[in-house]
Amino acid sequence: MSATAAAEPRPHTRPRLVRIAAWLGAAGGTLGLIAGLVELTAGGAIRSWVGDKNDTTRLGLATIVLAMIALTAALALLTGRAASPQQRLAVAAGLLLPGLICFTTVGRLWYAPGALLVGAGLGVAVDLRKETHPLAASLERNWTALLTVVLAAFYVFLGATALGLAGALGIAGGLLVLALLAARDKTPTKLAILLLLVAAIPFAALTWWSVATPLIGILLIAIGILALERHPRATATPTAVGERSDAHHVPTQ
Amino acid sequence: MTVSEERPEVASRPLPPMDQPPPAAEPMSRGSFLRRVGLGAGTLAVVGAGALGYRAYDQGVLEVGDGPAYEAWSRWDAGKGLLPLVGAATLAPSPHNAQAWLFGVGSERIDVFADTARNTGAIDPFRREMYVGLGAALENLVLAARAGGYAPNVELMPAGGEPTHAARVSLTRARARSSGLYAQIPERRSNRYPYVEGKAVPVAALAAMAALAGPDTPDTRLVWFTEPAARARVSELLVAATEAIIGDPDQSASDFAWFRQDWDELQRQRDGITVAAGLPDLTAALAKLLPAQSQSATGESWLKATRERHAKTAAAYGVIAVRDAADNTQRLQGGRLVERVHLWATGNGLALHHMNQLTERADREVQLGLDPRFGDALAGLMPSGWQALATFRTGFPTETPNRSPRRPAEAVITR
Repeated sequence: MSATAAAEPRPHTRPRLVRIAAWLGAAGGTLGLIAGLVELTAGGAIRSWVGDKNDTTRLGLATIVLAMIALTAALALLTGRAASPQQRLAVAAGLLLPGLICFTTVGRLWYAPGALLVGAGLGVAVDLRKETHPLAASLERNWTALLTVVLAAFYVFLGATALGLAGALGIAGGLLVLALLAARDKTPTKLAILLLLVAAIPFAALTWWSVATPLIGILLIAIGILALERHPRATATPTAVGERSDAHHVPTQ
Repeated sequence: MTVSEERPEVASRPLPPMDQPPPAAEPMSRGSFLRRVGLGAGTLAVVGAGALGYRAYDQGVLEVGDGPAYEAWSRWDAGKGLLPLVGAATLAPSPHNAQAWLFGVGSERIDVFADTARNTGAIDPFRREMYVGLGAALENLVLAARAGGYAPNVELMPAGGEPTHAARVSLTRARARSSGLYAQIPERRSNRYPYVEGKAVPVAALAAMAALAGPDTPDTRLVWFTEPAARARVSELLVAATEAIIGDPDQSASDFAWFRQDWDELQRQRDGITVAAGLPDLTAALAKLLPAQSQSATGESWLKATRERHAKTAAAYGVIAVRDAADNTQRLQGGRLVERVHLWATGNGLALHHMNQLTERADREVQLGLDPRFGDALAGLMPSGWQALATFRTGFPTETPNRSPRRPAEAVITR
């Protein structure tokens, strides 16, 4: 979290809109989890309810993972752990993206959870409208990290559709990149870049003929290095993202 | 200016009170401008790569040979009762992978029917290939019956005047007799890749395949074309026949109708020829990622493949010949023989690819009353008293082909 963002702490009492969004998100995430489980266990027998999907196993698993992300986001909002504008922006994305994506994974079973999650995500986003300046500054500073997250998510996604060793390496590579970004305060830059290469190259190399994975892999390395190199280390910048010490700099309200 | 150089300045800048108008925007520095341009370009690249990644997912680029359309290859012998026999039959080759078969399963017999709704139209105007495909399915069924402990008694065209009733297989209990051919049923593939150039098929192998014509296929024989001049003649005719097919709007449309370019459609229909069949990995991926090919482009690709890969690298051509190619019983016998040959080739490390452009074009000439260019050429290739029924090329493989989509046994059982 930046010093600029830290100068505008959220009051402890959350707006009514956010509280409603949190409950909607929790309900949507729970229903989404159930929808994913139903698709996983009985999707083959009720294909018309799950969008006539052929591969109900993988799509059921994908739905469960995305619903869990949405539920985690909603719970963070409910418990007040998402206090800063950046965190609430992440929550909005965590509600909206699964809410929209899963309309393509589980058919009619997603109508109710999808509507709840999209509504919740929009509610949180609307609540952020007065905090666009610090959010924009923060987004600009972390844009390369965000792009890297997107690319890593694609690695996980494509890895899940690929077969055998290549698929496993895709999933593992994507998750390793996400872990590197999460731990970039604590990881030496050179080691982080080395691990980034280890994460990105095997999947792209094994599936070079697919065109898509080598391209994503190259971008993952190029943008990922920028994200890891340019991020200020915790020792150099006390107000880096994730630092809670910024609370000491603001008056209590 | 780097990001870290900018950050302290931004961090120390106080925010204006909410009730005051914001200060006038500061002019953007050159470094800041360039940085934003770079971020924008990076974002566009990520969006583009993401779109490509989604297309790869949507077209199954990374899951070749996987999904429900291919489950029959691993579950074909898993059912109860006589279902594994039908499962074996469904793994047989068929024209354009149309799988124009239905099976009536009783307690002690299986009836094989033609599913005429799945015919290949102008490609096979007299249903010659459909019956050859049914014969191939019948051969697999018989091999599976023997392996499953039955003594099969096969009656071809049992209903006489009912042309869709291709065969009745009566089953009595007997000692299980698994064979080398039976073991190859789930391994057999139509190999559309180039074959090893300059490596001839051993004479003993050719003789062994020719000897597969037995008492249960009395009206059939296998004719080989192995000498360079003979192969060149067949190659030349095959390329010319392919040109004629793609130049015939109806035949071209009938061919195109079984060409599966969409991954979802392939998984749903579980039949047809896949876009990646016989292509190198990179080309296959590009073909899937790019927009679907038009009918004419597909035809041109087929012609190019026939000329540059299939005909050019064939080590030998085989023609299944019968006494009367219009007789459905002999067509079924020919289908049984061609499947035996294919299974034998598979078990002995040989690749095989069915190439029926010549007979397809010859039948089309008869249908339209055209000058019998290909009909006469085929007749000239055959020994006296024999007619060409089905053609294939064989040789040593350069690549292992992927499985082709299949409907499961449960989907092809009728009454």
